[in-house]
Amino acid sequence: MTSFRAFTPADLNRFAKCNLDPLTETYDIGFYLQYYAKWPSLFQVAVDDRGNILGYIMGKTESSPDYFKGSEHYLPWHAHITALTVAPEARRLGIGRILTEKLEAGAEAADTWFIDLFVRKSNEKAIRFYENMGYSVYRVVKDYYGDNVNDPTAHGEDAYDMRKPTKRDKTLKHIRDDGRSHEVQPEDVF
Amino acid sequence: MAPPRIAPAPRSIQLKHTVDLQLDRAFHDEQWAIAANLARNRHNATKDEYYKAVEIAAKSRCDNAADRTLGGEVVQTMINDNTVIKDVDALDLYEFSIACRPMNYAKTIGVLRSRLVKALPKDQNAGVRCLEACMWYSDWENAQEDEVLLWLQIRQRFGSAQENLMLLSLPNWGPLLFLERGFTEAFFQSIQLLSFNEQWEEIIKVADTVFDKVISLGQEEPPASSLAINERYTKASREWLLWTSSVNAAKKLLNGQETLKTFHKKIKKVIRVLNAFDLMNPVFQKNYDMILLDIAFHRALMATTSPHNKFEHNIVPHLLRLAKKHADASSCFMTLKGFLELLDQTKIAEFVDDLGSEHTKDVEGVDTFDKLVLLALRLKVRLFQATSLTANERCSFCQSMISKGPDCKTCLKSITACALDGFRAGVQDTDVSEKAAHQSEDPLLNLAILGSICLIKLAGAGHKSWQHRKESPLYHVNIQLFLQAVIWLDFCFRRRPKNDSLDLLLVRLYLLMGCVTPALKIFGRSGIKATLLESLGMVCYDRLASISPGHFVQKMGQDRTLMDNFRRYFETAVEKRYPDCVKVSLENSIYAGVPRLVELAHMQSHNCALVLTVVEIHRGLRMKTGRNEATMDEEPLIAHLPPDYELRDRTDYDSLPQWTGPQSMPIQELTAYGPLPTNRRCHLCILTERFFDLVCYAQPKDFKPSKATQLLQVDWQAAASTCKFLHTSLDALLFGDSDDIQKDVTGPEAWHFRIVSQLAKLVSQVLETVLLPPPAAAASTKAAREDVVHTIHRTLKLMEYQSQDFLALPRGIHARMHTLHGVAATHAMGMLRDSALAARHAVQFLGAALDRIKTTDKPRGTAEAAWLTPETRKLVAAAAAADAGMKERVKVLTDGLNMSGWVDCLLGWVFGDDDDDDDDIAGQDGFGGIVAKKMDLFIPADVREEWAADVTDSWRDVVKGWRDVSDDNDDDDEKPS
Repeated sequence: MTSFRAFTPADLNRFAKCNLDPLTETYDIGFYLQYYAKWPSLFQVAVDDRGNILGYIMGKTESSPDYFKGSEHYLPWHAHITALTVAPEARRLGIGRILTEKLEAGAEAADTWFIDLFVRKSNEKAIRFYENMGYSVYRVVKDYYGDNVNDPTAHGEDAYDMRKPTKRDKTLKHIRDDGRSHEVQPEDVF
Repeated sequence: MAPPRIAPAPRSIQLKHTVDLQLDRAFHDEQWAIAANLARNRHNATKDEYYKAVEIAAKSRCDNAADRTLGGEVVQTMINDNTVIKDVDALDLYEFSIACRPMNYAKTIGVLRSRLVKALPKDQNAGVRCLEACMWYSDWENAQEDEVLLWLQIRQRFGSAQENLMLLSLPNWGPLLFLERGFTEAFFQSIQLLSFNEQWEEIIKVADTVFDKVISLGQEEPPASSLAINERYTKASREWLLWTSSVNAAKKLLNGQETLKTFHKKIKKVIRVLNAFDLMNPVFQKNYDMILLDIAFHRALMATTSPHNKFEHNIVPHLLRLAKKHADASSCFMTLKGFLELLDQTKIAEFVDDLGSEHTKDVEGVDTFDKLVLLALRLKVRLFQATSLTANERCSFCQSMISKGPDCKTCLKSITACALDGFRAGVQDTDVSEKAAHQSEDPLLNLAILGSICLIKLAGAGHKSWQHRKESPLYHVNIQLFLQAVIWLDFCFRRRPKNDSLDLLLVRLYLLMGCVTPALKIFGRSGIKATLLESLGMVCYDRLASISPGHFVQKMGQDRTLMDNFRRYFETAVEKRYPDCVKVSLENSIYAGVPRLVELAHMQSHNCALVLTVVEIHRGLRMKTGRNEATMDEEPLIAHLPPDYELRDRTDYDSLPQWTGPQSMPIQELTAYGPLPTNRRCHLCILTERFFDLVCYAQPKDFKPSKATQLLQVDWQAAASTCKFLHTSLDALLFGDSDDIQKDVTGPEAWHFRIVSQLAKLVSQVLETVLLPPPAAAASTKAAREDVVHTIHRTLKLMEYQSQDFLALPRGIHARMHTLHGVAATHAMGMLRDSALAARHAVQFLGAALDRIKTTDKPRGTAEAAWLTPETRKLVAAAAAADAGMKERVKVLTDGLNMSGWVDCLLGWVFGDDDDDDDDIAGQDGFGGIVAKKMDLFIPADVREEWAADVTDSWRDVVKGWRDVSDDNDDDDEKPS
């Protein structure tokens, strides 16, 4: 069975099923605890009956610093998906979708304008997943990733900055249809 | 806790500092009419709504009745108009304006506070002020989500069941209100609180309301209600926590069977609605299958009247349906396992029979991959059944009589053979490998793990009594079967180097046979770092320093030794991360998060890994250099742990394959190099390290105190008292508990701790009864001397026993097999080395003390040295003998490993058939030969040779590390004491 709930710090001792996956980065404990301490409603987990974490999503709410306000790259109050991972054994069950929905509910409650995330341009599976959930490419961040998983000789890899508007954005002013043709540099991204 | 009955006093108020002096003075001097007029004027002039609030607040205290009720009217209008006041100071004034009359805070100002917080989520100051105001008036309804969670935590900790039920059943409070308000987490936590308080009827009531609501939404004319609320109900109705809480509650009720039946019907209707709304993701569908099975199981259990028959209704078809539906999910077996534990042997055998064939060619029209998936599942169930038997029970699968539970060896052999056949069929089918690469579940890896577990069990691994194992941990293990398990897993690792269960299992087996380098390599490639180290580090690192001190030596160009990052992880987490995060939590008003952070910090600081990491590092460096490189006092996390500080092993063993029966030895114990980490072992280690700290301490040469003699007396008194404490504490841990020590430590460890305890006693005796008595006593008494000598002799005896056990390599066996057991027994060498070091340092410490007394009282010093030194020299001699034994062992191992032909020899052990004359090599009843023939069909010659060469090289690495230790020891011996 799988149940869903908010993350608690003790879960860090049981997340091996997710984090032993080579595509999931494991950070210092402080990284996870900071998210828990600041944005607990945006840190959700899927758990099996033995207490193993089968998936988790971490997010935060933020806006660009005030000195960015004049910039075209200024980001208003929004939620950001920092990590979403599902253990290999629990994939294709829709866990990622449910976790994302839970984070979106938290983002709505925090009255944000949109939810955004970064994804490798080559990660077509993830891009499809997010598109199915209503996200669209807002802009392309050139060489955002230092490495290129498909071409080790390349300098880096582009990222798609994907967004989904929340209910607050009634006029959909924070998304665009032609996001793939809007290129920005990593330094433009907050 | 009863709800407050006395209305709270109105809160005091301050005007904003931007308000001019005249108005501020009038307001605070309670010149209400003047203040109201001034505020009206300011409002007219500035159009600032704040002044309007000041005016209303001032009027509320005037004598005019209309003015006094104005505040209430304005607030009510704002509530009705959905007005949001975003100025928290203005809101305080509106609160002030109605606070002098009876009011329902939650329906008036509380509503406006809630709106403000939602409108200004980034304004922490406003949020905290609103929270404080709500708390003042006990308005939990409008307190933020987070505070509801904190409230629930407090209730769980401190509230009685009846109080909690009463509070959660209040008309405007409780789980359903939380749900409707969007506090989903609070909804589920309140259900958990009710479960914690065993309020089963209330849980059923809440679940019924949720289900009824959702069922009504599926009707043609659903009741009119907010879309958002409907959505919250529908989403809650599919959550496992609600289902399982309801089913568990139903089981506890007197009319449980009837309630379960009703619940069953209701949940079916709910699922129909959820499906119609397209809200049933596969994960919920899977949960649904499980809850139906759970209900079926428990209804069958409740309906059974016979005490001899668990199930009168046949439950197996239900289980079979679930198994076949989810066979391709790797979690399938673990799901089944919970139900299998409820079945008796006959039912399990019936289930296995119906689960499919074990012959991969039997089923037409199904591809090999799918057949193997089902085969792996069937064999997992068989393994569970074959390891769940009791003594003198007949195995219901193969009908063998089991003389000693819990394993049926006939079945284990049969499972191994089937797994090998299936594995070979899969390996030779390219479609299987291709398909496996795109699936989360690889049946080939499952078959390899299954077969290997059976082989390890058949080989006889897993000691229940580590103390009585003098020789290599593999001596009583059938080497052929053991190595066959290893090479099979290694073959898989080389083909597809990423399967967590397989990798960690292989790490354990390699450590058990002394192959440290490949174990560390596989562990390193598993991606276990940072936060994962805490839960998985001990899978690899436990006892590593005693097995292979060479791996703890800092290499050229490296700024850290092995396990340094593990230690730093704990230091950073406990010393910095938790305080930081608690601070951040408080700053962000996430109060409910604080107890959980504290709880994790508590768990982490009581983790055995925290202690053993430090101990391994200290021991590893000491093995190499022969002296303490750092003291326990320099380890802030464990420097002051008292012996009653409770430590627990928090390793996440679920990452290893947990497929055997509940009575069977868990895989982490079966593959361990000794007992798993325990509180007792940790404290024995800490106390031992403290002894090393004391006897290794050397006073700086430039330390010249003014009252040297007095200071020396104080030093010795402290040392004597410390040693007495260490001896008492060590003995209490070794002998004081009713539980046998063998559950906690290996035989070599037990000898070592006992020797250190005796050495601590010796030091305290010598200091107290020989060196510390006042000068008038002239010399130590005969009794005191006899006690000291007795302790020395006892220590010598223990050292002799430990050396004998260490040297107790099996006799009369093949020279190369002798080498294998020698390499596998290096842990015993490590513990002996540490005992020898402890003895040397203790003698050096006492020698230095005698030298000191000679400088102040030469006759007495000489007299005491005359009888004591010859005795302590015996300890040095025993240590030297132990070192010589170790050196000899290392030489034998080096020579043995330098012989040519190791690859052929190892492959001969693995692939030799049962015609081999050597009893040590042949598997039991020729089974090793059968396995060898089957493996011969799929492990290519070059892979075998590569594996054998790697194993030999890794043994050479370990022995080379020991040779360096041994060489350094020669240097130590040359130094004057």
